Amino acid sequence: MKVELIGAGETVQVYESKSSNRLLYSGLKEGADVPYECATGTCGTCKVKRISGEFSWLWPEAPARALLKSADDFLLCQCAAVTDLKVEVRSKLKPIKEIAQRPQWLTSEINNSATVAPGVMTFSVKLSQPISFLPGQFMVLEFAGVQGGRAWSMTNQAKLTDTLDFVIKKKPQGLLSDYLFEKENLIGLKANLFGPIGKAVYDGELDRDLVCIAGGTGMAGMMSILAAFIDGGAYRRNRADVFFGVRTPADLFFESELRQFVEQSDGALRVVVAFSDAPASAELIAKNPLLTFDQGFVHEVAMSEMEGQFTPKTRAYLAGPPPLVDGALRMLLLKARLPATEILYDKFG
Amino acid sequence: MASTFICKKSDIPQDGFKVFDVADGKLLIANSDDGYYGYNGYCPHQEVCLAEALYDGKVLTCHEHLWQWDIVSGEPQGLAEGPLVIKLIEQSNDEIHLLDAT
Repeated sequence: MKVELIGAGETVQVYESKSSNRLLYSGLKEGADVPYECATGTCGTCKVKRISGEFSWLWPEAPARALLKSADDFLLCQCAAVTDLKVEVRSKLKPIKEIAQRPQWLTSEINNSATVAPGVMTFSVKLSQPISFLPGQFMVLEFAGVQGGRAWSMTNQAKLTDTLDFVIKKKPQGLLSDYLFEKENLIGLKANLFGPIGKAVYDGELDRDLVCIAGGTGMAGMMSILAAFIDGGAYRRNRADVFFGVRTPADLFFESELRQFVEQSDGALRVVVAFSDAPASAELIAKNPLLTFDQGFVHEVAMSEMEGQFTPKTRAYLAGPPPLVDGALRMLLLKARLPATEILYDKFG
Repeated sequence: MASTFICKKSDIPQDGFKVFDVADGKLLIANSDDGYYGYNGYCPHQEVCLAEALYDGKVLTCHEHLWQWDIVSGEPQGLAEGPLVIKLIEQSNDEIHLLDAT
C-alpha cells in the first residue's frame, strides 16, 4: 500500500507498507521522517490523522489510544494500512539524516543472562547478522507467545556488532517480564528485534560536556553513551557527570562497570549514585572510593551537585520513570536554563 | 461579540499560568509582568493539553516534546515549528473574559 504523509508547511513524504506491517516500522525502514518515540504504543508521539484510506489496529488496547480524540486519529506504531493511506502529520517532514543504519527486523538468540539486583536482569542476544547502532538507541524485542513488543536500550556500544546487551526490570503485571523472569534458563530463547531506533543519541564528535540523569534501568542507554565517551576518547576533551538513581544500596547494579569507567576517564567522569530510600552503607562507600553516594531523588541530587557548573557546552540525557524525567526537565529548563535542543530523552510513558 | 467570564486576574499567579475548560476545549491564560495573554490550551504539535507545560514568566515550554513559545507574541522558539493559537481575551477591572468572535 502507498502511504502519503502530509506534514506541516506543505511537506510530503511517501512510502510503501504491506497490509500486515506496522506503518511506523515500514516508514522507518524506508527512511521517512515518521514521528515516534517509544515505538510500542504507550507515548502517543506517532499519532496522525487520516485524510483518506483505511487502516486497521494491530493492538487495539494500546495505552496511548486513550489520548486520541477522534476515530480518524491513530498511532502509526500500532496500525497497518488496509488501503492506500493519506495522513496528516503535525510537524514538518524533513529529509532524514542517515546517522546510523536504517532500522530493520532481525532475528536473535539469547546467549547470556544474569540477575544483577532484585528484579533486575541483564541479558545478551546474538544477532543473525552484525549491525551498527548509536549509543543511546534502542530495539523493540518480540518473543513468540507474548503479545506486543518491548523497547529496551542497548547497554553496550560498538561500530559493528552481532551482540546486543540489555538490562530489564521485572514489572508488576508485565506480561513479558513475567515470562522472562520466571523462565529458569533463557539461553537459546529466540527473539525478533526491530531497530536500531531512538533519537536521544550520543555523538562523540560534538564538543559537549555530558550530564546524564537516569533512574533504575533507564541507566541502560547511559552505559552505552559512557562506553562511547571513554572508548572514543571524548573524555580527553569533555567531562561527564552521571547521576544514577536507585531505591536502596541493595538495588544498585553496574557498580563495577561504573567504577571501571571512572578509572579510565582520567578524572573527566564523575558518577554520583543517589539512593531515594536509604543511605549508602559504610561498606559500600569504602568499597567504591571512585563513586560518590548521596541520598534523595536523583534529579534533585543532580541539580544541587551541578549548581553553577552548567555551561553553554552542556548536553543533558535523561532516562527513567516519567516522574524523574519530568522533574529533571523542569529543573534543567527553568533553573539551569539549558536550551531545549540540548536536553535529549525518549519518552516511554 | 459574546464575552465569557474566565477568572479573576488574581487567580493567575505572577509569571504563572492556568488552563481553563471552555466551551470548545481549553483556554490557557498566562501572566507576564503586567500583561495577561490568552491561547488555545492545546499544543499545536500533538494537541497535548498544556496544563503541565513549563513556564518561566516569558517562555512557555510544552512538557511533551519541548516546543517553546514567546508568551507575549505566541511565536515559536527553539524546536517549535508553529505558533500558539491566540484566543482573544478582555480585561476589565480584576476580571478576565474570553471574547467569542463568532
